[in-house]
Amino acid sequence: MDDTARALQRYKELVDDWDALVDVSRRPLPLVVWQNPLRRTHVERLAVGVGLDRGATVGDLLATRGYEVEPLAWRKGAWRVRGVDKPGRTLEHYLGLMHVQEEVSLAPSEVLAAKAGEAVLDFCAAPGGKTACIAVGMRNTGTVVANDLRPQRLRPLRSNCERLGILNVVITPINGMRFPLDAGPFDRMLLDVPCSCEGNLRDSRPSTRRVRHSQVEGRGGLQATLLGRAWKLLRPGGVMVYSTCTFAPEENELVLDYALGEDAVIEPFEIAGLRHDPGVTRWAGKDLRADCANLARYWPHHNNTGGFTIARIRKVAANG
Amino acid sequence: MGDRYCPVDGAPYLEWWQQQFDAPAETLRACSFWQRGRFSIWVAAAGVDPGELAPVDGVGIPFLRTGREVWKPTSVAVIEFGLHAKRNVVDLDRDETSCFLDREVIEFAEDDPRRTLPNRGFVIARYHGLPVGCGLWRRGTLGSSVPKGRRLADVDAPIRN
Ligand SMILES: C[S@@+](CC[C@H](N)C(=O)[O-])C[C@H]1O[C@@H](n2cnc3c(N)ncnc32)[C@H](O)[C@@H]1O
Repeated sequence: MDDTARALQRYKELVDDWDALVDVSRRPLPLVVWQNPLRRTHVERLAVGVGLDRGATVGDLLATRGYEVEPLAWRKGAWRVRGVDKPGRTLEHYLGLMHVQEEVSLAPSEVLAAKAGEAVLDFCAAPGGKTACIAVGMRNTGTVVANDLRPQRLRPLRSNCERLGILNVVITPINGMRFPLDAGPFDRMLLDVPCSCEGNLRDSRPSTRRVRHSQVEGRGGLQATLLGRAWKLLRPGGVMVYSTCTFAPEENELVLDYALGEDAVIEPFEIAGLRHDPGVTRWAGKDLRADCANLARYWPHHNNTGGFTIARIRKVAANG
Repeated sequence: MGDRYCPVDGAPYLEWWQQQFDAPAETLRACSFWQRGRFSIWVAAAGVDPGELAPVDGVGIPFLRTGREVWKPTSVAVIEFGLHAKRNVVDLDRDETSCFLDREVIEFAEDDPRRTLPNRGFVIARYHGLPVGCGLWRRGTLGSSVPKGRRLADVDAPIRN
């Protein structure tokens, strides 16, 4: 048994086709780019300049560069790209016409569905792919506070906002456990918490390949503390998306079971074209909140992506 | 890092932009302006509000560096807001754009019509009518202000059929 199989061993009973999971986890991840909707006029000018139609997309532009591009089934304006060189080394990228990101990490911002003009908090934001998705989704209106404990990890976030022309982001380097409570309330928030990163097995960067199993249990405390703090900053009726790039129930369902009270409802959701499994309501002999079933578990072999777990939680009146 | 960002009246910067680039300023007029340190002006969406948050490590994008006798727009601001500029614009061909994005200085021949630009000042470099960055024009040469971390060796990389 190799490292990959060993890392996934404990999920045998959770997944439909464990061999397929192990198999896909050994293969590299497809690269995905999404078109920046804030730069429509820029795309149009470049397209005309290089002899394409006015209505050409970034996908079309990349195709003329020799990339193989395949539109995502579940999201408009995004493509899997293959071939030649890194898409991050193109004029389209330099000009902020597009962003390169792992496919399944586009999902949390879809689930968050932030609207124009809202106040949004991205609690653990660096290096910022999800912040960018949220901010452009709000069409450069409202405010997105992008926070992260580590200032140096915020540098690429800032650089991406500048490149993409994102004007509605405020960056803060604050420890989430001490995030000022008078900074709220926020309409929506994303809690993409630090985790053991099992879902990143397919990432080829050596730093992300290490599976930090010993951390699976140790992380739960930090995750629950961050959630507890952020919860106080969410307005009643507001939505929090809690996500991890890991499969461990200890970092997902168990954290929510421990940290959420009666003023929280984990809501069901579905992204058409992106398959997910339900969350678990029993793990290691313990019964969990029934609404933990509404978590979405994105297994790598179901959509040929990285692994991800997402919960959409609404704040309701405590005794309502 | 951790510098304060203070809201400022954008009027002088708008006026400068309009003057410098003979460009409509509607999009900019709908923005908020922030000062960081003594010389750095940032631009953000109108509704952006950091409230009482501190420390803050960025509000919107950097717009302009003031302080010297000539103000210097950032390349990211030029790309974002420079689409409709009519003055102080230099149109580059493909090889020139590649040099520019690789931070090389471009020299224009004596008889190049683009030499009619004023002697010295910050200009918008364009490729296919699209702003690609801010440059310093000096008597027929164009220096590139593309930040080191963003340089790009070839506009047609990897290939363009
Ligand atoms: C999974 S990563 C976030 C990825 C990011 N959302 C994105 O899409 O690019 C988790 C982040 O949490 C940050 N972090 C760890 N402890 C934190 C704390 N106490 N407060 C705030 N952020 C923290 C880490 O620095 C790390 O950048």
